[in-house]
Amino acid sequence: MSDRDGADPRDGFSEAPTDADSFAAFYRRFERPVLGFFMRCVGRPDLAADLMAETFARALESIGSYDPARGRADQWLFGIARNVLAGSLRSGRVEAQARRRLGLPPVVLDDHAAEVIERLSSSERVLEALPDEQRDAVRARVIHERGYDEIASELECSEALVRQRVSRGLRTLRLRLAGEK
Amino acid sequence: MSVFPEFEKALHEAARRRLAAHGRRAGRVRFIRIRARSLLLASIAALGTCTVALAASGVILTGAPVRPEQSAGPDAGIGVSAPTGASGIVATAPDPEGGPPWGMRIVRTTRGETCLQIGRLQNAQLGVLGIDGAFANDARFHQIPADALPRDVYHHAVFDQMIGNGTTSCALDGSAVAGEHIGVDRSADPNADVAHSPPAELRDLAYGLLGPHAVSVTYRAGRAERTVDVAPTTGAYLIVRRFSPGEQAGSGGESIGTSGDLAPSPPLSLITYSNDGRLCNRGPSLPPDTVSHLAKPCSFPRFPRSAPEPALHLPLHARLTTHGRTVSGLSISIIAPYAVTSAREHYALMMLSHSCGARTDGGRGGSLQATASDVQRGERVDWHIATPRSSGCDRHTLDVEVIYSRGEGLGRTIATATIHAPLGTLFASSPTPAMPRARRKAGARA
Repeated sequence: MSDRDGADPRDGFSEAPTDADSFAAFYRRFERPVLGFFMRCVGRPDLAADLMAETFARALESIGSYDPARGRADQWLFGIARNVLAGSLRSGRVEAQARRRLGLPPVVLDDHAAEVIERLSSSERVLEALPDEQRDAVRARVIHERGYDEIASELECSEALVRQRVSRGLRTLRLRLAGEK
Repeated sequence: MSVFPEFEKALHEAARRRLAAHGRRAGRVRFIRIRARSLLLASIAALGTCTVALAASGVILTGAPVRPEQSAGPDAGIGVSAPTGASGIVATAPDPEGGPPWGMRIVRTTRGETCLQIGRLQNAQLGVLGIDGAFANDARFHQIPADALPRDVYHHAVFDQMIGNGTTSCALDGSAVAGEHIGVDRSADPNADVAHSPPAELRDLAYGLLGPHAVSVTYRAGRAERTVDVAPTTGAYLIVRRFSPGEQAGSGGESIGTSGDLAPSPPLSLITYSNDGRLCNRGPSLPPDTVSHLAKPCSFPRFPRSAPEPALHLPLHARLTTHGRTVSGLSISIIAPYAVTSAREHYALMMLSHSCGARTDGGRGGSLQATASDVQRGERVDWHIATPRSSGCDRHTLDVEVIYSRGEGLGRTIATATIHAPLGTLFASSPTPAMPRARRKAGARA
């Protein structure tokens, strides 16, 4: 959790949000990663936005099922995301039951939102060229703008190591892009 | 700032309603309600009343046992009742109208599930009463066998849902559980048509299995609060009350957590634990910075983080069959690096979809298939897909991933491949999906 969200940067959401404010912070923290995940799977910003919205609605409904002993909250959330995706693919339409039950409005995709989501997707494609460790570090720092301390806590390594991975990852990308030119 | 501030605002408001400290069943898991048969019930209230009266006098006759639903087998779904997996009666409660008391037992399954079965009790056996339309109102007691479990029509580890019916619920072994079945017919028939039942025939069942640390539970009964001891060792409890007007009959929910830590959810207001030999109380979850007024509140345990698992890049074998110029079938297999021995784990094949480039053309497709049965380590896991669809618009390639999941987490990608259609053939095209687009603001870019 980054400082800008106003939550403890050390907790990494190892515990489920228990009130509305912390759930909103949880949403802000994972909105873009979830959108990026769905963009990678479906390739369309409008669908990714719909799937993301249903994922968070489902998460809110089933927050009582989250058990920190079985994994972090982000792992739990992405488990729900996969389930929403699977159910939507099976039925041929984006599931919306949880949003209906909660009375949530449809997400409104304006130009800005569409561009942000597409950038998430293109960034992910570029990152695929990197080794896993560097990709995770660059994604967390550059795309999701998270603090080094927070990333180190989540990846269970030192801040220095995270900085090194980000630096090497960016260097690799620079060299690759230069080569493509 | 979020990408969708309006949605964030609406979600925040929904969370405020749902996560309010005193919200009814806030944050609980909804059951998948499985009704295997639809009974055509005639309302024969007089016979029902007669049966309850007979039961109170202890002369109720025995009829044929409840017939279990067809299960997926011992190695699939939630499995079947394990040998010696059924406990004796672990909790009992009187019925508000009298008659046979209610009882609960634990049934452990071959796939690592712990199921809690609830029914009416006679001679230390659980059963269904032939009243209110059940068993054609034969006024007899019908024993519930241990293998009368809900059918796992979904893979609930994948779908993040609990499996349950009106009187039985199942969760992974080792979980502490506190749940409620709302509006169960007094016959204890899980398939009763409770939506059309008179409220007087319905009951609310609060039940749980809180583990060895639990000592007692407190719940509100009218204006008073009552405290009942839970069973030693198991932490089992059962509370039977009249149906609450305004609730949805046939609904239910469950909170799942860890023994010694699970917070109470309605109708419970307090759980007393004995942690490290000291009694402490756990109230409903409160927002951060809210001071608990409980006497002797339990401290919150810290859970250790699991170590990250090494990345795997396993070989994946694909075989295509063609019909004319079209790829008509795809078989994917991997050699399982881990055994699947319970409902907690599974492998899934994800067929990825990509944008066709311009955002307006919309061509894409994909699907996910998960295993729902046991797998030996080193065993081959197969998926067969009829008419596989291309990942992109060119119809030449299909990208697939194999994911291994343990528990409810994200799961790990353990194998990936791009499969090319044989020369001269093409994959089926991805149809324009029927998925509705997110609503665009007027004037937004097309």
